[in-house]
Amino acid sequence: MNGTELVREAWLAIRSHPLRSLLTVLGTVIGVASVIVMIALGQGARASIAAQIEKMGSNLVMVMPGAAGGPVRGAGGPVSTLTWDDARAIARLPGVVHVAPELRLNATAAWSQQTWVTSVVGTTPDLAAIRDWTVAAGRFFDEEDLRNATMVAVLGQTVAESLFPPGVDPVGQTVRLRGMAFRVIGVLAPLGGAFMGGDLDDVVYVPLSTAQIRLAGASAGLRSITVQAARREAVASVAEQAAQVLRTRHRLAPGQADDFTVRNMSEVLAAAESTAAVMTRLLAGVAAVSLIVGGIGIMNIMLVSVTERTREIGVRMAVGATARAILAQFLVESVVLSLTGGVIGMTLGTLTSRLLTALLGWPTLVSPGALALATLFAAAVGVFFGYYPARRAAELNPADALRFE
Amino acid sequence: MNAAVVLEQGQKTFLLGDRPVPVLRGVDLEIRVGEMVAVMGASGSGKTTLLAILGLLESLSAGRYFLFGRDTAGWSPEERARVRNREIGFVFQNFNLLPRLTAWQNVALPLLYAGVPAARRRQRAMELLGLVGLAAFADHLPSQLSGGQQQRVAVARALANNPSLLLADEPTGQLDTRSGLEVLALIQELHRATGATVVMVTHDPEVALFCRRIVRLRDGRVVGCEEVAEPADAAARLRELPPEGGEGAA
Repeated sequence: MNGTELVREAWLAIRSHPLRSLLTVLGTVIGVASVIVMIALGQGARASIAAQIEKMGSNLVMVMPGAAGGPVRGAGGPVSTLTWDDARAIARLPGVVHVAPELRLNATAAWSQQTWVTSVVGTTPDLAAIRDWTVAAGRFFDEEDLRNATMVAVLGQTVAESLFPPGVDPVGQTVRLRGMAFRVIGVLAPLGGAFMGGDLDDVVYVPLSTAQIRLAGASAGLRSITVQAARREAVASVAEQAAQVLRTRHRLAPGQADDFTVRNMSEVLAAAESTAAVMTRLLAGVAAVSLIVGGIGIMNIMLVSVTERTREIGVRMAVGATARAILAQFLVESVVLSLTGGVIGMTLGTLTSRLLTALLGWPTLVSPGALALATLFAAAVGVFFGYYPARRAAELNPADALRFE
Repeated sequence: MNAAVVLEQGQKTFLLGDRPVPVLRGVDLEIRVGEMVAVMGASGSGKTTLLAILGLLESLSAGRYFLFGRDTAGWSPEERARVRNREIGFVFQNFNLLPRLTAWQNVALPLLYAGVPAARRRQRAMELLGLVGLAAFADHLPSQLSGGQQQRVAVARALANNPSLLLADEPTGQLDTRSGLEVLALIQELHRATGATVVMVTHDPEVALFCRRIVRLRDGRVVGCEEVAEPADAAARLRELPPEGGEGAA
């Protein structure tokens, strides 16, 4: 009896009890479906995190004041150690395309009778280039504005909508920031929510020189320096050189801890991805438990089936079936049963994943790997839980089996 | 000596719980090649157990069993399965057809375990069904056949691998007179045509008279053995029966 015939026989046996077979494989169906959904959710989350970080730019290096994990803000806060000159020094490094120092402060923006509490960021035109921003109206400030410390501002979409009623063009208007008049020269196109919360559109951008002179005071330290490397591969070396330059400029002795943090965005990406991968594995593991429970259901019914078909086994043995042939027959039957459950489960799992994305907007990703894994697992469950009943069948004494009523 | 079956002091004891229950208490039996023998005895005499031992479905607790001159004592389960497949055919009282398989698939079952390729199996099964007069019923399920037809399918199955030993356990036990005679006629005809050794277990003296020799069994021992001078001819009896509108003769 070859493989195809064994499978055909098994299918015949399974089909002869459609309802019972369906109920038997229900556990496997649910198990496989939940494994698929869990992996799809995990991989979907992972892909969406990766996509967001990619959007932010994986060829970026972020430099922040303060040691990693150290106190960034205490009572009064440590004075920021990063200066515009630090940024200029980094800009001279090979492989660096853009450098955008940022100084951030809170301010109340006012126009006419409207006020809006928002963040003001002083930066250089490089930031718009790094972030690949487009303006919805007007323009971003340029090098000349920076040199002259002109009193100009570019509004984020949220700020523009909060200050100006519909129908009023913000460009050309004058808004007051901390009581000083700034001319609005542009409004940014909406950026949407940021990775890990926050509204990227609720910001007013002004030239860094203006912010230092007019708003924060010349000694105010920078909140961050964003460095863009020419290529993704150059990110690590740029990060390393930037750290070296800063150590030299800050006169840190060897062995002394950094007073700044350099973060490589591709490392952040890798960390986020590995977190998501661990989560995926965990979820899949929990779902796999239900698959094992499903296997117990299969074993139970296979034992019942062996008992019910004792006579059949006796007849087969009488006409020449060896113990091996009987073992193979029942083992194949249990594997076909569990694989049938696996196929139904995969269909159900894939549909559920699609539904979650369609109805709840959760990102899901059903990968061929997950489907292969679930199939393999279902087959393994069939073999594992089918073996004992099959062996019971194979070990029957033919005469006893024939006598069985 | 041309013996198909030699049983020397064959004993079989079953365990009922812890209590040993002897069923065969030392049976000596010799059946020549090509003989047709009836084993008679009341229920509980051990005749079905004897048949199971002759058919290698059961092994002896003590004593020796030679099948066509070979000692069966050291045979592995695989070897016994192979001999059952190739050399022995069984016909049971309750037919024992597999309910999910069609008539021809049931007949082909021994061929399946003999490793005959699928196309050849169907061809041979159709041949055998023709032999028992049921070619038209090849694709019927057992539940769609009468008792007599089912037993004829079972006979066809027993013949699939041209066995040299045909064992029948009350083959007419569940059949009416006409169907019983049809099956007996079939067995007699096959016995004549193929020269196979036939051992038939029955408690019905009339049925035993269709055989050449009758072995009597009581309480697990052979208590008598007689030749039948002129065995009854089932085909002739069948012709004497008043004609019936039902199914045709085999």
